[in-house]
Amino acid sequence: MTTLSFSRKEFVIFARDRRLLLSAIFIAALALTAVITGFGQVRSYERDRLTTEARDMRTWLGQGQRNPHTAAHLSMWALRPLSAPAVLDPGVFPYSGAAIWMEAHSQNPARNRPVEDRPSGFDVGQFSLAWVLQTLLPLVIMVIAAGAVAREREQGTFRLLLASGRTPRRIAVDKLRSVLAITALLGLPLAALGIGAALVMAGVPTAAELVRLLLWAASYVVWFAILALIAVSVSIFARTTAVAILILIGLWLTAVFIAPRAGAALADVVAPTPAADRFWAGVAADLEKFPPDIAEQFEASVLKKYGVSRKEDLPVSFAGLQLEWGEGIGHQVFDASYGRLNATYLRQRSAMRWVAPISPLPALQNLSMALAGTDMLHQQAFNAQAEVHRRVVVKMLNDDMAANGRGQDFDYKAGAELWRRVPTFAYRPPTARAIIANIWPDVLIVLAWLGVAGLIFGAAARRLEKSPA
Amino acid sequence: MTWRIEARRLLRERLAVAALVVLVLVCSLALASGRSVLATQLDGRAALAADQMQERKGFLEQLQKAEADAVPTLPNGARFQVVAPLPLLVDFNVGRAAFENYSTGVSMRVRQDGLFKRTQFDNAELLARGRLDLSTVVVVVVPLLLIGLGYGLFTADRDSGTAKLILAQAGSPIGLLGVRSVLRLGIVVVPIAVTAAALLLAGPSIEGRFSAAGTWLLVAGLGLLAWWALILLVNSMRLSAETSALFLVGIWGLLVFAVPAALTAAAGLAYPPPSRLELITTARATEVGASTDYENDHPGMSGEDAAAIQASVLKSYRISRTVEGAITPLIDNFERRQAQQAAFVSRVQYLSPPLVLAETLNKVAETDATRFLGFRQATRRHLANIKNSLGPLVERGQRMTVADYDRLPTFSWRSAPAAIGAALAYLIAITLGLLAVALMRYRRIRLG
Repeated sequence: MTTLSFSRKEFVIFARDRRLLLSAIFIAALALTAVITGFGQVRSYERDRLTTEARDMRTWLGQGQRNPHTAAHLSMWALRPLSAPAVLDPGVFPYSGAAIWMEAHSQNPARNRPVEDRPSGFDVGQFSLAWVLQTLLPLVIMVIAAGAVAREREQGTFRLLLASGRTPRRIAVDKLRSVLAITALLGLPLAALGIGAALVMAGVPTAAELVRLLLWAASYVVWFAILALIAVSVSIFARTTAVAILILIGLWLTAVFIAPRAGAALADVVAPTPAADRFWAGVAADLEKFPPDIAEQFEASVLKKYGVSRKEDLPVSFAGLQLEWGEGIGHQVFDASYGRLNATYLRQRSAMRWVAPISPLPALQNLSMALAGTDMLHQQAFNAQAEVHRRVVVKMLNDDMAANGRGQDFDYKAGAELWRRVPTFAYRPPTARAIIANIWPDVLIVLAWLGVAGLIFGAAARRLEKSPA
Repeated sequence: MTWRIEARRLLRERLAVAALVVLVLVCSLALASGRSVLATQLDGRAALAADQMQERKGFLEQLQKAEADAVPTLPNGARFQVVAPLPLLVDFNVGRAAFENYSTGVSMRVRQDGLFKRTQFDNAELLARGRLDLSTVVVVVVPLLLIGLGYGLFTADRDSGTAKLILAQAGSPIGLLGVRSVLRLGIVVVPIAVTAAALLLAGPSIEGRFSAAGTWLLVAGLGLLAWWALILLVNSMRLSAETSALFLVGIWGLLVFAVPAALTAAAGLAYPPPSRLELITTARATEVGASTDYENDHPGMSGEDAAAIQASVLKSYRISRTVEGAITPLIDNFERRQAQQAAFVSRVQYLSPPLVLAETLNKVAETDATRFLGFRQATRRHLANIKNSLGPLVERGQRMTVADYDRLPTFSWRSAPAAIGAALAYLIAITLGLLAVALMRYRRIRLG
């Protein structure tokens, strides 16, 4: 029996097993629904975002004559765009904010988290193609692979395979190939469907986008290879198919369901996220640490700089200068506070990787989100860029008040000419280098798991050689 | 005799030992996670209470000194923290407490659309991974362990041909299965009960917590019994052990993962939430339209004259009222849509008993969507009451006094008791129905 006819036989067995066929059809239907839903959600969000930006720009430009610092309080909003690969994996987007108010005096967190609109409190994951490929399809693969060798031995047909001249190791490898072929048959069309949807969303994709989509698919190829290696190994070790199924389901439960949650719980214990009111209390406390006469010191330095003895004699608006100086104080405090918060997030991410020995899934999730542009790196890039833009806009407005508001201060009014000069926010995704720097440990973890799975399979094949039937 | 034999057999089964070990580990994780969440919630509330006392003390001192001041104390200087009561069993079931706010600041300067903002600091990566609390263990993990313990309850004996022998000694299959059921259920019930007791004893002693825990255990027990009834029914069919295992795992995957995920997505499609971005732009457009020039952001800098400052505060108050008039219908629409979504889920949840179980446990723990929606609505009403109390002072340009401060409404809200009667009846009906059919089938079993 050649390898090809062996695989064909395995496929026929799979196709004749109505239970497995039905499961596979159901998963495919679910994946299709996930792709359609994801496509609709991303498109709807992007339409909403563009409409909002246009409307808000009209409000900004149409605000009439107004004091620039008042306009700095109205300010503008930074809205996070979603790239086409978000159709495949929404990542952290449902749980992180999409909108930042870039107002004066305050570095605000992103708000409008889609998860707040979810009607149910029962969370088994965000329904998406990535979720189907990470959670449900592995279950089907494990059930298919459970009987790969165990059933042959149960039914006594393994001896027949041996009688055909194949060694036990060769049979094990052929079984693995068959499982991989069936997995490819189930998984590749789903991945292709998702990538197709992402390409339709992108319109004319760039080379970088195409590379990301292909790498995204490749990461799942490695994921399914790991699953197939381990599942066939368990089928070799187990006495019966039923026992193999249960062991594999137990492994699935541990690796797919428990490990990511355990990692998150561990991360929260190791580096707890501060509560919002504690964060703002910390900001207020840091502001209090500045010397009480700091405002007087600033006034004295300005008077000295301009060579005058009274604020009224300044050639500029002191209020405008003071506002921008106050922003500078705030920048120091916010840089320190958000720096501590981001350091907490980094420690949490490291802690989450401690579950890597139990499961490759958290690492795969990090890769999937990074390649879909929906991981924390992309979110933090958005947050950081919005803050940079906020400072530019507020400074521009305060500087205008300082330069033109002499003698009027808050009675000085600017108009549309100034509002038009204010630059609009444009998000730039992280560079490939930044993405790689963020995910290389996850790449190593997934590849290490592939190696370990290969070793386990090797040990299983040797066991089969020793006691084939 | 049968008890002893079955107990010894069970203890020798590696699968049973593995299930117990996994459950103990998972319950330990759930215990640690629950304690951590509870500690965060308690510490946060304690810190807020301390801050509020300081704030109140400071403001009252300011009011008392105001007699001597040329500049009146501005009503918009009065700030309050609105804090939701601690959910009774947040350590058993985190639910929406993982990302919903339990507090927000209210004052004359805060608008309806400004409530619960600037609070989204949770690590989205952690939220995306999900929590492992005791409810998740009961709804997701334990049914799978029960399947592992019970798929071959009777089918394995039938497959191996030993069923006749066993029945010859034990008598009716019903009695035998009863013994086996009690032993296997004991393996899962004991760790859960111990974990629940540990959480209860280590948690705060607040009114209603113990009775809620009792209800929670009752509901959890019913949910697990429903699964066991299904397992018994499947064992009564003429299926091999392997097919039973496959069938039960398939049902579990469908009802625990696929159906709830699809129903949640369907709720979003049937009642899509209005655009929050639209709410933002409407508020901003209204704000711009309501003012030609104002210096409400820095009334203290608009001049040192008391009259100028009061005029500025009045202007700010009127603009805020105009904006709130425009956005309140949008917020109402939002909350109405959220309530419709929740109602939709509560209707279709009966397609998935695990979803019914999960939602009911959420309600008992007070971490469900309806409860947080109620808190947000109560907070909005409280903000409106504060403004209704202080607004006249602002309109009349009146100085705020200590008596005015003491007359201000205090926030007091408690969610309505969870309505779980229908869900309980459903779980009981499912369990009894499955058990009845299973028992009928076992009575008719002929091993010839």
